[in-house]
Parts: sequence; structure tokens; C-alpha cells
Amino acid sequence: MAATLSASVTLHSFFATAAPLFALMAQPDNQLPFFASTKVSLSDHDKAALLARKRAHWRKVKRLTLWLLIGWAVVTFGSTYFARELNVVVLGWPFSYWMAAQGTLLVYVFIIGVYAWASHKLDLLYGLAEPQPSGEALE
Amino acid sequence: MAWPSRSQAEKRLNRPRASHALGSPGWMGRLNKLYALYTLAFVALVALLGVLEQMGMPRSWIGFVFLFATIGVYAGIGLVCRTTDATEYYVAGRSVPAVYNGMATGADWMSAASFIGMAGTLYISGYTGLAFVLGWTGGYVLVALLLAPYLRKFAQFTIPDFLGARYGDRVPRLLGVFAVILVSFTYVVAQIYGVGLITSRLTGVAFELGVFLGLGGILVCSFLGGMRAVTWTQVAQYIVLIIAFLVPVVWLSVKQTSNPLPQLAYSYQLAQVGDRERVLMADPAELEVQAIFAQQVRTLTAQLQSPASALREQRKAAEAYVAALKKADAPLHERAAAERYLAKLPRTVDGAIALWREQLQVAQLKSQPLNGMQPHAQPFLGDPDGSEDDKALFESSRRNFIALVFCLVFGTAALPHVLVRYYTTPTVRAARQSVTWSLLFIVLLYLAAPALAVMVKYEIFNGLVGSSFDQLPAWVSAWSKVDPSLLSLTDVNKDGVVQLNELSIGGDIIVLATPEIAGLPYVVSGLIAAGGLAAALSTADGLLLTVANALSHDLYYKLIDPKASTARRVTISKMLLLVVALAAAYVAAQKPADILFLVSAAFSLAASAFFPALTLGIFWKRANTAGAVLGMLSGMGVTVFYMATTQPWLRSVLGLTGEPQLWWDIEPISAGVFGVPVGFAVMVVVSLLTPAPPLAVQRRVQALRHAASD
Repeated sequence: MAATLSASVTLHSFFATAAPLFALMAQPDNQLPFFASTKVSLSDHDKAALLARKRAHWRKVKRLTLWLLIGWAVVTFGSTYFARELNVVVLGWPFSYWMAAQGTLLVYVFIIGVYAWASHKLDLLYGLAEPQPSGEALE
Repeated sequence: MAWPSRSQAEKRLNRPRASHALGSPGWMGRLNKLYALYTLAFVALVALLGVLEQMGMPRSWIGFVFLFATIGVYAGIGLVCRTTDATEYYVAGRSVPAVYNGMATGADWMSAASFIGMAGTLYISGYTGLAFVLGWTGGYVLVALLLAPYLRKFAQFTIPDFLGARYGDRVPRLLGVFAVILVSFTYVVAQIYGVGLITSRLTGVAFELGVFLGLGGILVCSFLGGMRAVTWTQVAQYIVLIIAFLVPVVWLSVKQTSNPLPQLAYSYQLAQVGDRERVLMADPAELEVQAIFAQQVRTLTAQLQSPASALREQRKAAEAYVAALKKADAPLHERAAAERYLAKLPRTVDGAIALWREQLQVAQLKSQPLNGMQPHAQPFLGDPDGSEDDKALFESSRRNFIALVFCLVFGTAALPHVLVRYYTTPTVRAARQSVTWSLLFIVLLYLAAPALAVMVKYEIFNGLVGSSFDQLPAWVSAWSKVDPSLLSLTDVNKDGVVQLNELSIGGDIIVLATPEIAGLPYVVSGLIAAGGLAAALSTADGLLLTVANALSHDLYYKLIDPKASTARRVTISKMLLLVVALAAAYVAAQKPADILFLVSAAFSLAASAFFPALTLGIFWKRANTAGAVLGMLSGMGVTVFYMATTQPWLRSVLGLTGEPQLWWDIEPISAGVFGVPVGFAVMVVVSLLTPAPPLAVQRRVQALRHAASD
């Protein structure tokens, strides 16, 4: 019973995490707001606008971080807390063992990759990306 | 006060690159070419040595060639990268591309413990050992999401730098320096110890000489070029260590399942190991051996109850036996054996107690099924549906597993030598990407280590256990001769057949013996040693630099002589590096006991000292100096207090007696599970009770939160 509960929690939080990311994905680069690439001038009006943009940007970044952290915590501590119950054989692997030895690690790489990608997308969206070094792109 | 002015930070970010060889256009392409060439050259060297071995080159030569070729290359890179520029020396000019910073972090992170020790731990503890795999990778999620991009935006040199600037006071910086030294120094001692072991194994020189040879290898990398040299040698070391680890693992996998991807294939061996475990648990011969050890446990327990008289009796009996043999004019070798036995008896009661306790521990383990190991894929001990005792054992085993993962996760995210690596990328964006690369490169090894543990277990359960003592596999007889502490076999029940409980192995053998188990030539054993050396050297480099920089940059420059010129700062850094390295080598050469405990303790300490102050410093503008100072002190205080009062070795150092008081059965290694929450709570409460930090500081915290400079 505990096993089903934890599985449904994992699924739910996955979709909850994924939803804002899907929204981001749907935003094509060429439809970024006009200010994304223009240099910001510093009149009072612009300053207020910049401040508002920064606030909104930080809210989004915090939300992204929070959701990814929740996903991370559920996978890390959920799959280990219920390890005894979840250790049924799936595709030849004892599930809990496989999670701790491989699955969770792959989820970590995925989470960090999504964060790197999405946070840069947010930077562009709010016109707050740093200038990339000139010359050949440093990856 | 110490916060860099905006223009300064700007200047660093957009430093002209054209004038500079590193970081100029074409930089990335040249790097790719150089390291591709280097990798090819290394593979060619291994192949060449393999051919020469077939033609009859002696084994010790192979060891020497590996030792001098690899250290020579590292030293060459160190020389080429020498510098006196502060930004180059401390943060590699902030010009390390994300991929390469990822590789350097991988090497920085993976120590001898990851390379050689982890597969052994996994062999012995099965699922329980996976706490290390989880903790040491899960921490990178916290690094990526909570720390790396913000530290890169902060764009300074050290971790105490951040504390000093964010909390605007000398005290947080000093506390930071203290914690860096506490955490990193014990860790670097362990690495140099590992370097000494591997060097002496590779070349046959004495351990102490190995330590100082290895130290030379470490110093040539870091002394002249600081972070810049360390970064580029670490990339080279990563390439060596990953090749050295994966080649034999893949080969063994092909041999066992004809599948070159052990990570996918080993579910087969895991299932076989499980079947074998069930058979062995019911095997009458195994039960017989266990009963013999159970008898030993009873004898030793009785002896320990009145050690003085037990020792007297043993001595009397031995003397009587020797006298009887003499009288009966027994053959010389029998008399010699009896006299040796008599001479080996402990001289003092204390000596006897120590010896018998040790023997008791071994016998207790060996009186249990499966040599005291739990079934490989089974999470936790005990049984949630069993008796009250079983239930309690299950609960406490699960609690300890999760507590250990917690400490390793937060410790990983707070180890200064890893965090400083993210100061070295060109941009915030690159810092974020580089954490992904780091974890990817680390996971390459961490996915293979559990597979290796299972494959070796499969080999031992099927190929060794149940075979006859006259016909042991070649690798077993070879290794039991080389080093009995790594592998020894005694026919306890004298039936001429190997039982699992008759086998004693040290964890390190899992990686070291893989080439022989897989039937690979000696050159691969040399390759593994070179990989272990690369792992230990690269971690030692990073740690040494971190300790030396905390002393030179934070203590000397920021607190003692803020007017020191750049050149003077770098010179002082280099001198301190030498001093710290010699001190660490001196401590390592003493072969300190319980070095492993000290290293694991470093994670709990780092977590409780740094994690709350760093993350709240970024995410909570209201966090202030008083909160940070008291939070760090109380976090570290609780962790140190719990360790000191519960860990047997520390207790004996401090002269504590009586039963240790464990909180919720948590082992001392996981003391951070109390320290981190206490640190957070104290920091929040004290910050709220005292005035908010100045507006200027709050504004600068805000500036950290966006990649763009404003």
C-alpha cells in the first residue's frame, strides 16, 4: 500500500514539476520580448520597468528551483525510505536496488540539465542574460 | 567592505582575451585537439607497454613507466601553466569552458576512496553501501540549484570570501577559514596517505618514501601555477582515471555475459548472486564453519571477562606444552612452532584485551551467515514484519541509511574545494552547465562501481566458494601471497573445500584484482594503479590549494595585510602551499588510525559549517552577521559534540568513559543530521531577533540573483 502511495506521489510531483517547464519549452526563442536583446537605457521609467522585470525573473527562478528541489527530495528520500516495499523485480532488476544504483543518479543528471537549460531560457525571456564572451563561443 | 566594486567585477568578466593565450578565440578548439592527442598518446602508451610485456619486459618496469610517465605529464602541464597573476593563480583566469571544468571537478571530486574504496564498500555492504553513491551524487543537485551560479556571479576567489563579503565582518570570514582547514586538511591527509600506498604498490618503494614521492607529484602540479595548473592537470587526470576504471570493468563484463555494457547487463549476475546467497545460507558446510566461529566467540567472551587470569592460564599451558615437547624430545619443527606460539602471546593484560577484542569482532562477523554480509540487493537490516527486535533493527538501519545520505548530500554541496571550481568558468551560464558536465563525468564511474562489485561477488560465489583448496583460482593464490590483509583463506573446518566464511577480504581488492579475475595482462594492473594515483593526486591538488588559499588570501591578505601587492600575495600563497603540503605529508607518514572516520566526518562538518550560511546568504536577504556567526558556531558545535561523545576513537582520545548516548540510534558519522538543522534554525532565529543587514548588502545580494550585471 505504501508502495502505491509513494509511486503516485512521484508521478504527481513529476507532472507538477514538468508543467511550468513545458510552458517554457513552448516559448520559441524568436518570440522573446523585445527587450531581450536591446541595451537597457537608464531613464527613471526604464529603471522601474527593469526592477519589475528583475522581481518577476527572480520569482520564476525561485519557483523553478523549488519544484526541481521537491522532485529531487521525493526521488532521493522517497525511493530509499520505501526501499523495502518497492524492491520488486522489474525488467530483471530489483527496483529499489536499481533506483539507488542507477535510476536516481540519472534523475539527478536530468534535473541539473533541466535547470541549466531552463534558467538560461528564463534569463533570455526577461532580458537578464549576461553578455556571452566574444570570440569563439565558450560552451 | 570586502565586496568587490561593480566595475572591478565587470572588468574581470570582460577581461580582454585576445592578448591572452588562454581564453582567446580558438581556445576551445585548441583544447579539444590537445586533450584528444593526449588521450590517444595515453592509449598508445598502454598498448605499447602491453606489447612489451608480451615480449618479456619485467613487471616492475611497467610500474615505473606508468608512475614516471603520468607524473611527468602532470608536472609538464604544471610547468607550462605557471603564473604570478592573482586571477590566474586563484581561479584559472575564469576561462575554463564548462565541459573542461566538469572534467576537472570530476577528478577533483573522485578521490582514492571513490576509485578504489567504493567498489569494495559496495561488495561488502550491498545496498547499504549505495548510501555513498546516492549522497556523493545527490549533493551536486544542491550545488547546481542553490550555489554554483550565484558563487560564479559573486566572482571572488574563495568560500570565506563569500562569507566575509556577505556578512560584512571579520568573524564570519575567520570562522570560514577555520572550517575550511578543519574539513580540507583531514581530507588531504587521507589523499596523501592513498598516494603513498599506491606509489609503494606500483614501484615497491617504502610507504614513507612513496608519500614523499607522491607529494612531489602533487607539488609540481599546484606549486607554480595554482588553480590554473591544477585545473589542466585535473582534466588530464580525469582522462587517465576514467580509462583505468572502465577498461577492466568492461572486459570483465564481456567475459561474464558477453555484453560490453556492465551497467545494463549485471542484473543477470545480481540475480545469480541472490540465488547463490539463498543456497549458501542453508549449506551445511557453511553452517559448520559458522558454528566453529560461534564457539570462538564464546571462548573469547569468557576470556575477556577475566583477562588477567585467562592470559596467565594460556601462558602456563603454553609453557607446559613447550616443556613437555622438550622432555619427549619431539621433532625440532614442532618445538619451534610451540615456542613461536608462546612468544606471540600478548605480554601485557592490556595487549591481550586489545587482541582478543579484535579477534572477537572478526569471529562475531564470521559466525553469521554470508560472512556477515547482508543479501546484496536487500535494503536495510532486520525485518519490518518480524519480531520486536527485528522491527527495531529495521527501523534504526533505515534511519541511519537516510541520515548518512543526508549528511553526504549536504556535505558534498558544502565542500570548499569543489565549490571554488565554479568560480573558474567564464560565465554564470557556463557555471550551471558545468555542474551538469561534472555530474555526468562522475556518474560514468559511479554507475560502473556497483556493477563491478556485483560481478566480483558473482565470481567469488561461483568460482571460488565450493572449489577445492588444492585448485584455487590463480588470482586467489597470487593475491593471498602478495597481501594477506587483502585476501586470506583458512580451511577452518578442514574439509578441503572453500566456504564463504573461510574467506577474509579487504575491500580494496575488488578493484585491484579485477584485471586478474578478468584474465587481463599485468599492464592493466599497472593502468589501475595509475588511475588510482591520478584520483588521489587530483583530489589532493584541489584540497591543498583550497587550504593554502584560505590561509594566504583570507587570513593573510584580507585580515592581516590588505595592502599586500598581487605578486606578494601569490608568493605567500605558494609558500603556504609548501608548508601545508609538508605538514599533511608528515601527518600521513605517521599512518594515523581512523583516517577513514576523519574523512567521513569532514562531510558532516562541512555541511553544518557552510551549507546554512551559504544558501541563506543567497536566498534570504534578511540573514545577517549575528545569525551567520551563531548559526555556523552552533551547527559545527552540535556536530563536533555529537561525534566527540559517540565515536569510539574520539572518546578514547578525550578519555570519556561509560556508555555513549546515541540520539535516535544515529551513528556518529552522520552527526551532521543534527548540526545542519540546528545551524539553520539558529541562523534564522538570531537573524530575526537582530537588525536587518545594511541596505547596501541587501542590494548586492539581489545582484547575485541575475546572471546579467547591472
